[in-house]
Amino acid sequence: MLIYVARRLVVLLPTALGVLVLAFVILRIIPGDPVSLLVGEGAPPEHAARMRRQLGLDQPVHVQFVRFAAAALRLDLGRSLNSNNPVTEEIFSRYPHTLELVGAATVIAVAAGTAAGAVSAVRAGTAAESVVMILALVGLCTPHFWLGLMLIVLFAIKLNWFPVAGVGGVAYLVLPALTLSTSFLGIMARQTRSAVLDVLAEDYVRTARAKGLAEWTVVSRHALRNALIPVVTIMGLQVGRLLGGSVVTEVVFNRPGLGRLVVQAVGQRDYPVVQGVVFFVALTVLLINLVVDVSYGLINPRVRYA
Amino acid sequence: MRARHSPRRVLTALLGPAVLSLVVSGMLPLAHSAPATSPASAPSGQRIPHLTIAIGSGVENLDLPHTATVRNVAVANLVTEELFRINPKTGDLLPGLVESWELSADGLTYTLRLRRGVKFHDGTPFNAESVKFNILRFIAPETRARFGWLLAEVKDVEAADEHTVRITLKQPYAPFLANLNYRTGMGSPTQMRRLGRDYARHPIGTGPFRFVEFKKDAHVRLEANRDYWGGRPTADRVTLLLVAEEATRVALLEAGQADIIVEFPPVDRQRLERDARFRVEMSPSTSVTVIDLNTQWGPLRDRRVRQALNHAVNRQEILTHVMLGAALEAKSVITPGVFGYAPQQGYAHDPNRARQLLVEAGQGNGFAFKVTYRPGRYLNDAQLLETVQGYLSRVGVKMELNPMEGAAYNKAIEAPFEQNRTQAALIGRGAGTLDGDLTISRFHSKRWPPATTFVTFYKNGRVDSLIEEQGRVRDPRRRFAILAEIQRLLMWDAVWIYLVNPSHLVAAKRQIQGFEMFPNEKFLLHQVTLAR
Repeated sequence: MLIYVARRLVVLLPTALGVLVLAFVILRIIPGDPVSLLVGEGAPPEHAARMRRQLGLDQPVHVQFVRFAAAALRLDLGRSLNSNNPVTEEIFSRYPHTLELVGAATVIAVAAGTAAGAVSAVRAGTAAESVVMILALVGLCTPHFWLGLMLIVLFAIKLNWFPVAGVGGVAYLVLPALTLSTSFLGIMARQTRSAVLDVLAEDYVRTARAKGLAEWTVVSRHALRNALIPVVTIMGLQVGRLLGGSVVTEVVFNRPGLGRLVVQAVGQRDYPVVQGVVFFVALTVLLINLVVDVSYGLINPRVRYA
Repeated sequence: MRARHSPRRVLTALLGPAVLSLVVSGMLPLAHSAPATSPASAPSGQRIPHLTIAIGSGVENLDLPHTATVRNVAVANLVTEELFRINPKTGDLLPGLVESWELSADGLTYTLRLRRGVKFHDGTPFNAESVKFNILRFIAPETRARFGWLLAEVKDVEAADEHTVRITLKQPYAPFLANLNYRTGMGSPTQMRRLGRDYARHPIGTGPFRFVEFKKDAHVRLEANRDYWGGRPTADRVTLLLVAEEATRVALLEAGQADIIVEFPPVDRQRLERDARFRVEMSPSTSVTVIDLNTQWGPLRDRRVRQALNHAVNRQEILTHVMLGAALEAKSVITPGVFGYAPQQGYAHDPNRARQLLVEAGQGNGFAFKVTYRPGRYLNDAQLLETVQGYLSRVGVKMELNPMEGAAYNKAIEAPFEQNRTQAALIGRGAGTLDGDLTISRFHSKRWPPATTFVTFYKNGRVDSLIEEQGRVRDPRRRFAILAEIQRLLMWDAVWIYLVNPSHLVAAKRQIQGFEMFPNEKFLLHQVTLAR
């Protein structure tokens, strides 16, 4: 398995590089000129031209890429056009906040989602199942924007339990993590439910019951564990989605996160920042996928890595 | 100016008894004796240990050449001040770090006499050399100041003596001091030499507040500069929360986690006004939201058609129902509080007159045109356009909406005339320098896109020469008269569908006073107190 992981890691870099090339090229294909956004409306054309030259944006795309890649090898991703700060600094000042938020949301979604899914599968056909599934659907459909504001009104303004917005201790994390977790939670619940339902119909579950195991043991040891593979796959995909998709939650709760950074940077055509974020998020997603693939083997020993 | 848009001081004189819990901190109320430097504006309330104010996003860098938005400039200026103060009602310059100034007879040399005894936060004396250092740094190409072009006319800066600076221009340029004051600030040369490119991490100025911490997209923390030349600031510590979402700013105020919030949705205004804990103030902004009409395109070439479009629109209804009262009618290409502002009679809502003008112009059967815009860029922009669409359809004109993504939109409207397909564009214009020249000079026929975003493609020889003249004249009164005449001509030629001048909305805890907001989004915090 170590060989498998090593091989995957070797493939990982070229993949991230491919993503980076794509981002680099796409950014320059879509209309919009970073320099005109930079120097403001009404700047004399000479000023804009000088700025373009100084930033190297007057060069052909392949020349720009070679320069960028050469600098990137020295771990220099350039400076943000918009803030003039080093891109690595812009990213690393935000990455912890995003990871913290996505991590907390994932814990909530996975814990509550799989539990709810398992319960509704085991209690299939009862009112409990309907309630859980309706809640899951509501979670799936509730816009983060609206939910975030409602949570603020209730828990921060009316009850004063949590701060409205910002980053700091755990108290600052609760409401945004709840907000971000809802759709993920809904998906986890529904996936777990259908996976567990499938497994419960298997012969070995009947065997387990037949040999007199307690229902709890049947569900947790035999059913849930076998049902986890599709669930873990979905989880990996969802975490990747949240890394880039947390922007709405970040805006509502005023968290300085990666999602906000990249949305702003795209709007400003802040090429170096977009490239940097894309690279780091791609790397993270690839790593998560690797972890997911490796975990298959831990969940189900029959999975072999070749 | 209307009463409700009243004065310069956004949150001044106070109603109601204030509940003060700050006595605990052992702080004595400030004496009534004002600092010798600004006798007219002595703070009258109680000191604040920690002031929290939530503003919008856009604060990117606290080193002035690299600031992004005007809000960013405003925050940077709290630490590294501009040279002049500003009269928020007229846009006139007032003494600040520069105590007095004069312009030579040939209109080329400005002599600035600096306030004496001022020191940067690191102890470096503020003098002519430091002013020279900051200006030259701002215009040096290697600094890559985004708005370096504002000072493009500077030929030479010279420290005549310890407290006198002489700035010589390449040619007379009347709005120069306004440009100089807009995006510059005086930083400590010692600190800049010491930190070089990293100066932005720890800016040092002469301002009322010293820099403590800047966390992007989160907050800026400052502390009082006790030796401030304008008197010790009344707040010991200040936290500026950088909050992108307006609704979140309102929530921060309602939860008691912010003392002041700057800009919030007009729909929340009434609710906050009715709440005894808060007060709300509106003040004029420098921006106008208008529809640029391409005066070189199809039916819009005819002035009567453009006038008809202006007559078709009911601005009062827009103010009440779309802007919910948080705006004024746009009565010129510039706005109250900007030097040169001369409100025009404008076009009354008169659909019959509009139809008649269209018939005279040979467009009695109506026509269609397309307006390009960036959804969400301006307050209520979609509703604004839909409303205008309704008015125009009543006089037989079909206005189609053409939404575009921001940067793509810029690219489209900045295309040179031959390639530019823009027929009309919804856009916000504003003279952030607080001098009308910034907006008005862009109507010059030599400044069509790509030099500007003015897709009016306006060509009027008389306006061109008046624009050139106002840039040269030395006498402000004469200059004002010329600027007024240009505004009259631009109104008569109906270069825009004139719409609204959105107001700044500020809300604060009721006992907060002394927050001063300027039309261009800059603000002063050093005299914010709690009412007794």
